[in-house]
Amino acid sequence: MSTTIPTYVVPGQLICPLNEKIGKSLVRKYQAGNGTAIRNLVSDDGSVKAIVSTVVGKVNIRTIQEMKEYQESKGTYIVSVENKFKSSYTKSDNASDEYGINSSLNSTRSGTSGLPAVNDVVLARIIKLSLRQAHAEILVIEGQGTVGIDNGIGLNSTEQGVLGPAQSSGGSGNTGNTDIGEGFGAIIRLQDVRATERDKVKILNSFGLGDIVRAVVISLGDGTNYYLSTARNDLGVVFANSRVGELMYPIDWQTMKCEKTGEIENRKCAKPFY
Amino acid sequence: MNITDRRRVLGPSDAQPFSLSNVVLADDQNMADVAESLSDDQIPTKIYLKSGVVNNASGSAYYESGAIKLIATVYGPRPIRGLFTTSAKLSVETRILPISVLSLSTFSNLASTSISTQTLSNIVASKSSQSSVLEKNISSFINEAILPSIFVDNYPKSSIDVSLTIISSGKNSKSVIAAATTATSMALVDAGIELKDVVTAGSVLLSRGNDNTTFTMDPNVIPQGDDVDAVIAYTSMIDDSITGLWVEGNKVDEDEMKQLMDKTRLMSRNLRNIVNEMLISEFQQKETIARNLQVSGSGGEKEKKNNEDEDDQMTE
Repeated sequence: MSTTIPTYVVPGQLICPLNEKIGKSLVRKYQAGNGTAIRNLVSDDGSVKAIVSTVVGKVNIRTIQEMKEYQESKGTYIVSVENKFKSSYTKSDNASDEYGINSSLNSTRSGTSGLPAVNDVVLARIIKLSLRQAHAEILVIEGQGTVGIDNGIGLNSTEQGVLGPAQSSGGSGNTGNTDIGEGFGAIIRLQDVRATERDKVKILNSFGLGDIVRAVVISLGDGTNYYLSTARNDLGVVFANSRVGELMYPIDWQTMKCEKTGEIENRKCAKPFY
Repeated sequence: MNITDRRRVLGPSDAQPFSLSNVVLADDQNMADVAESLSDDQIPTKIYLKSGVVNNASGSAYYESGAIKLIATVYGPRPIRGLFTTSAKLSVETRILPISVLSLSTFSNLASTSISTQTLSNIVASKSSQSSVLEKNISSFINEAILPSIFVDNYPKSSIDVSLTIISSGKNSKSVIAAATTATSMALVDAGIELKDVVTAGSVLLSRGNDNTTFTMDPNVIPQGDDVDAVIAYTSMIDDSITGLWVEGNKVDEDEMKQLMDKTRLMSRNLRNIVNEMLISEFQQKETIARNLQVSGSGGEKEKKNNEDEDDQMTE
């Protein structure tokens, strides 16, 4: 007999046991994924570990083979609860949308409260440069969506007439939650900028103010800042404006060229294709 | 360069000044039903719940049952400044709008002889000071009742801020607190914060008149004399464990306490069923909206509006 797994769940609801016997020797194993937790269910017969939901959403069960090719993990499934909908950013090809973001898409709002964790790849905006480190503000966690979707000040609001930082940060791009000290601050230290020739790295030759940087979280850091690293080929500056405020494109690992003026600036570029 | 003043919350750029010609009368069938069910001697059995009512918050919920109307709003998890913390901090702030305090204080004039001293002091304090004793007590009760349900370890160095606005209330403060606990939980769910369970609460009044004790759940009846007034919060889905308990009154014996618990447990279980139903149907609606948007591009906006109209839930 196999247990029936609910389709939609609320926080606290039982989804399935960790190990489920189907037949004599067959055991189906489940692992707790996103939006779930493991709880010990105590009954008269003893205790059983089971997966419970922690958010409202739809149960998704994947076989582990989709991720890894381990033979011995056959019959193991990952159970997660999905509470996010397709990001509004994926729709930005809509030409009628002035800002590239569908401002009325409230439905993407729920479940975007994930915080940066170690090993997450994030997109961050450089807000301050010093000789030893670059300060940034984490905007997006890859695969999870905007971080700190709203701090109650309406900046990120999807309400009509209120502009979020993504829409209003043209030009120098140096506006955002950090202006009022409410963003998720981060630091890229000098030694974390790139993997090779670390002693020759100069922060001012690696980043510019307002650059959008793809980086990995290496530490939760201190109370104020996360620690980021760009020491990988696929990490580094992905968007940058030149001195005259025009978009630049990378021409090699260390330089970017302005589209309009042809001026060349130094950056730690991310590999454009990955 | 186009710079807006970011330190202040300016109104939306397309705001229109208020004038009577702008006012459109609400044509909400469901709200009318609520109004109908409000006979004085009856416990209002109908509850109006809706989450996602505040646009610029992480999550919010509106709760209406009888005279009780309140909004819970969740902001966060927000980054904190200062020392590193491994788990989230929950802070609750309650505001009772003067209009609801008024309903309490009016009553106190009518029944000043029989009102309990503590309730009276609460009422007086809420009238006179900025943040009344009652507001502070509600905040701390909800903080204690809700905190065990949150996976705080999933949110290091952040704070979750709950703002609770009691727009209107009955005369009994405990029933407002029970409603506020439920609404706060729903707002947390709406914010997508990971929870062990959704906390719901029940409130009951034990009256000791003429040698026989009776239990009332009417939000308009206040404790008198030796009456016992209680609000108890439960995590109904896991194991019915009590997360918050507030019992006020005289000489409660074991049997009475047990009855209080049985009654409130039943109430919060029933409430939980309603909440579950609500949460899932709201989620499914969001899902439909998202799917429509994906399929039809910008044309989906129209369907979204339609969906929102059907959004209002009535549960009995």
